[in-house]
Amino acid sequence: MTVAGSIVSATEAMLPRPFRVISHRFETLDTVTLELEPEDGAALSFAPGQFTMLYVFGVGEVPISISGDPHRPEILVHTIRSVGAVTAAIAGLGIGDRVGIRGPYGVGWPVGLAEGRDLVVVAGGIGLAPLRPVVYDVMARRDRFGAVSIVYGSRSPIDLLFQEELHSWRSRFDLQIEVTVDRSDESWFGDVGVVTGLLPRIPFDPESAIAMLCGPEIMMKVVANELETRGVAPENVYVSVERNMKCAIGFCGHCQFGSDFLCRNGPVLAYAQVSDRLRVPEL
Amino acid sequence: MPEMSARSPERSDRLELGTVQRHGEDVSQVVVDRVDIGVLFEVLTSDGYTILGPRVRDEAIVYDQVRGVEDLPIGWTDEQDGGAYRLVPRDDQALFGYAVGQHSWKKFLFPPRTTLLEVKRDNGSLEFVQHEVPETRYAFLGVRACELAAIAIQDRVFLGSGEVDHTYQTARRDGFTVAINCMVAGGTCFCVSMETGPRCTSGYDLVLTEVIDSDRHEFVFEAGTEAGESVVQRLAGRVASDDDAVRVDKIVETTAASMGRSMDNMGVKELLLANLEHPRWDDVAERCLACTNCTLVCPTCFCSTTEDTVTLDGELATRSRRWDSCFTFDFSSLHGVPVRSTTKSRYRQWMTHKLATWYDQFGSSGCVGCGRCITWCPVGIDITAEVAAIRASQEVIA
Amino acid sequence: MNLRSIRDKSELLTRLSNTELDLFESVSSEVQLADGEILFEEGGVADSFFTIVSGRIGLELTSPGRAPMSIQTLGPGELVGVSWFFDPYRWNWRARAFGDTHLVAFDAVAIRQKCEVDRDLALEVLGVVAEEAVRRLHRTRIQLLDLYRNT
Repeated sequence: MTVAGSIVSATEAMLPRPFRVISHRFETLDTVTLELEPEDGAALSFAPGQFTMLYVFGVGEVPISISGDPHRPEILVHTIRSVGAVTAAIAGLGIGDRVGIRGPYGVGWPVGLAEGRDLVVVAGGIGLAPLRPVVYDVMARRDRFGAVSIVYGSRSPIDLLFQEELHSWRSRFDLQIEVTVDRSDESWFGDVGVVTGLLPRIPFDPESAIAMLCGPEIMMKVVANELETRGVAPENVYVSVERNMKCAIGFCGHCQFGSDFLCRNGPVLAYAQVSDRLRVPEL
Repeated sequence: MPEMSARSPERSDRLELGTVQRHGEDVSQVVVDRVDIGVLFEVLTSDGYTILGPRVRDEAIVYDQVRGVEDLPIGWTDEQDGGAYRLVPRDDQALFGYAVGQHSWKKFLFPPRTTLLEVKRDNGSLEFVQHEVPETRYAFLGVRACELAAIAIQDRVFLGSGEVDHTYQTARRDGFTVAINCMVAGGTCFCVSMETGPRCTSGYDLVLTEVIDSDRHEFVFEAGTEAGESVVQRLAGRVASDDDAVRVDKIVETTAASMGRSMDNMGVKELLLANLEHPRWDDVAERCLACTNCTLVCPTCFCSTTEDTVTLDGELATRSRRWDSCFTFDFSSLHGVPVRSTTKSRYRQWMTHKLATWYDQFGSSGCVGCGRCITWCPVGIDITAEVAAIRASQEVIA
Repeated sequence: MNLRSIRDKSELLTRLSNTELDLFESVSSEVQLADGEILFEEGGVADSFFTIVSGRIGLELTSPGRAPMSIQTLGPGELVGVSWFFDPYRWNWRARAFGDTHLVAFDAVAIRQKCEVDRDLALEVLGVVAEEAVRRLHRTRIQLLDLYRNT
C-alpha cells in the first residue's frame, strides 16, 4: 500500500498481502462469494467499483471487483465466476485457505456525484457484484440521494446472485428493485425479458439522474442507448469496461482501451467517453 | 511526468533521469586518436562499469559485453531494408560505421525475464518475499540519438507515470551512457522525421563522433554530465579545435541527409484515430504474420506479462515478469476469448498505440524512427508506408 | 373509461390523435384481473387488444406435463397483443396476470372494420403495431444472445 506522497517500486507494488478465506458460499453453480480477512489485520479500504488482484498459490493472479460493503472493510468480499484456471481455483478454495491480495485499484463508481440526484443502477449477470458496494454505500446514507432504483437482469432464475439480499432490498420502501431473467423456468413468476424492458417502471428524473451500468458490453450499450432515448445524457451514464489485466499498476499494457489504462483511468468510465470506442469492433 | 530542466548549461553531477541538458560553450570537447581509444575502456572498467556495446554475433551487430576495442565490429557496416539485414565489410576500419541491429538497450534496462517475488507455503500459510533487484553498473557504449530518445520515453513509462519500476530505476541510476552521433544512416532509419536525431542532444554522459578519412582516425568527445567530464579528463586526448567541431557538424549533416525512410508525422494521432476502420488495416493484416518481431526489436515497446511456477513439492512458488507482445493471440484474452482475435485488430492496436494513443498516455510519440520494425519484419511491413497510405487516401477524400 | 387520464403513460394511446383517441374510447372497456388469472388463451380468437394500466402480464407457453413457462413480461403502459391485427387473428401465447392487474381492453373487430374504410386510421394503427412488434423483436434478439452465459 502506498502512503500518500511516496513512490512504491513496482516490485514492491507486485507483492501481495496474505488473506485468509473465512467464508465460502456458492451463489450459483459457477459463482462463489468469498469473505476474506487480512492476515496482518489491516483492513483494505476501498471505494465502490474498485478491484483487487487476487493471487492463488502457484496458479496465477486475476483482477476481481470488490463486492462487499465499503463501510465494513475489515472483511474483504469477492464474488467470482469460474471461467478459467485461476478463477476455477478460487472457486475451489476452502475456509482457512490463503490467497494473496493486491490493491485496491482503479477508479470506482461516482457515488458522490449522485448525491442529491436520482440514481439508477442497472446490472446484468455477474455485473451486480461490482455494483453491490454502491447499493450498500447508498443505503448507509440513504437520505443523501433522490429516488434509488436497481434493475437487474440475469440469464435464468437459478443464475440470480445475492438472492437473500434481493429479497431484503425488495422489502424496503426507500428503494425500488426490478429483476428480470432472459429465460424462465417453471418456478419463476417474475419478469421475463431484457433489462431495458424494466426501465419504464422505475422512477427517475432523466435530466439529472445518474446511471451506473455493469454487465456484458452489449447489455451496457443497449441500456445506455435506451436511457439516452429517455433523456439521460451519456455524460451521466457510467459503465464498467473490462479488459485483461496482469499488473494493475499501468506497466504491463494489457488493459489498454484506446488511450486509457483501465487499471488506472477505469474500469469505471462515463459512457460519453467510451461510446465511440465501444462501437469499434475489437478495439 | 519527470521535470524538464529549463536551467541553463550546467552539468549535473549525475545523469538526471528525464531532464533535458543544455550545453554551453564551456563544455569540454576532446579529440582522442584511434590508437588511444582503448583508454576509454580502461577508465570505465576501473570505475567499476560493465561495458555493454555493439559486437558481431550470428551475422548481426548485437549489444553485449565488450571488454576492449577488439570486441567492436571494426570495419563492418550494415545494409538494411524492409525484411532485410546484412553485414557488409567497409572499406575502412571504422569502429562504429553501422546503424542499429535487432537489440536495443531495453534488453538491459527492462530485461526480458525478471523474478518479481517468491511465495513460500508452509502448512497452508503464505509468505510473500520480494525478489532482490541485483545491483548493476552498466556503461552503455554506442547509444544512438534515436536510442537516447527511446530511453527517455521508457523513463516516462517506468519512472514517470505513478509506480516506479525498481529494476529499471536501479539500472538507470547507476549507469553511464556513451552516446554516438551516427556517421551512417540505416536503410530504414527515419530519426529526422521523428525529430530524435541523428545528433545527440541530451541524456548522455559522453557523446562521441567518429571521424575517419585517409589521413586520420579520431574520436571527438563531448561531456554531458560531470561524470562524463571526469572520464573525458582521463582520456589521452587533445582539446578540440573549431575544425573538429565543423567536421562533426558535417558528419551529422551527411547522416541526416541520407535517411533510408521518412514519415510525415504531422497530426498522425488524429489521422489514425479518425481511421480505425480504414480498409488499409485489412490490407496490412493480409501481410502481417503476427510474429511479434516488431515488438521485440522496438526500443520503446514495454508490454509484459506475469508467469507463475511452483516447485514439485508445492512449497515454493515464483512470480516473474517477462516480455509480452500485443500481437499474440491471447494478449487480450478475457474469460478465455481474445478481444482482439484478428491480426488486423492487433496490428491496429500496435500502430495506433505507438503513433497515436502514446501521446495521450506519455506526452510524446512512442516511435523514435530507428527503423528496426521495418528491418526485422519478415514480410517487410513499413510503418512509414502504412501511415502514408492512410494519409494519402484521406487527402483524396478531402 | 376516460382514456385521456392514462394517455401519457400508454405507449399505444400516446401516439393517437384526439379523434382517434375518441374512437378507441368508444370501443373500450376495463378489465381487472387478480394474480394468476388468464387474460387470453393460446390459440384463442384475438378479438381484443389491451393496454396495461397497472400490474403485469406474462406471455406464456404451455406444454403437456409441464408447468407453463413465461417468455416475456409486459408492464404498465405496454401494449398487449399484436396478433389481433393480422390474419388469422389468433393468439400465439397465453397471457396471464402477475399481481392484481388493471387493463383497458379494445374491441379489435371494431377497430379492424374501421381500418377497412379509413385508410389513414389503418396506417396509424399499423404504425403503432409495427413499431411495437419491432421493439419486441429487438428485445427478443438480445434475449437470444444469452449475454450472461459463461463463455
